[in-house]
Amino acid sequence: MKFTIDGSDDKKHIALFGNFTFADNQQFKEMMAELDHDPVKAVTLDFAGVEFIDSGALGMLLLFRDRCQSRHINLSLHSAHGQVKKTFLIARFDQLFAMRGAK
Amino acid sequence: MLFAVPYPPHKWFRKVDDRTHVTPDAPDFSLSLTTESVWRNDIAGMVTAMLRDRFALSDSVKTDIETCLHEALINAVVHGNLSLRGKIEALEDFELHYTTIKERIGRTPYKNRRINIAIWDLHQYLEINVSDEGKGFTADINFTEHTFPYGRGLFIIHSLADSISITEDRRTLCMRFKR
Repeated sequence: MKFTIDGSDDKKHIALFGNFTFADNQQFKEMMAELDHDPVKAVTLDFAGVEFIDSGALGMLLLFRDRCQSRHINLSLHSAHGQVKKTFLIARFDQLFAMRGAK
Repeated sequence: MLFAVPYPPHKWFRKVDDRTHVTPDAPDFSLSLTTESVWRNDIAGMVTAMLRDRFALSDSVKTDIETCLHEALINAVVHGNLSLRGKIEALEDFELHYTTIKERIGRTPYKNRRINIAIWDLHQYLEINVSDEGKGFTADINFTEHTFPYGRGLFIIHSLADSISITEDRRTLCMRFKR
């Protein structure tokens, strides 16, 4: 998995690319660390470029959700499609996250 | 590098269940892989691409099989052959799991354990079995703690497959998919 971060100091748009799996824990940790430097209020995770996700990645997203809640950051998941959207729905992510732009 | 050898035929079990079919002894397709080969290669992607071409699977069925096979193989590596049991409750736990995997994967006795994939064409269904050489696992398909960051792999498989079962030695997960 790769990621890019755009946006202002308080609103971050993080675009993810490739397959997002258990093996991506280090990249995900780096992504989370990037947010520690700014007074972030809102984060959008954009899944338009993600084709495959597994249960390990779902676990990382839930840990990210916990961290955002503790820092009062609004987190939303955008543009999930195909296998990613289906897996999100199986895992009840529509009840745990703000999900937008899902195709 | 991917190492694949024919699975020893004497090891196939004959599984009789309450559904339409009795699984024949010899699979139509089988792979026997080292734990490291499974960990380092996209086996689920390769196998499902082959199945799609061979059985003209729809994209939807192919994707469901790929998701389930991936989860089954991760479980076989991590909880089966590498015997990792700890819960993941923080991102640091992912790192610890990952470090332990890298440490164990090349070490005896873990490195000698294999993971076997067997597939039967049952006409209306494909049956896919994933076996490891660990101590056996406990199936928890009634996953209700949806905020937990771990333990939903089998729940996802159960949600997507037409049926699943586990052999008596608790080392083989059997998944059926309607074609």
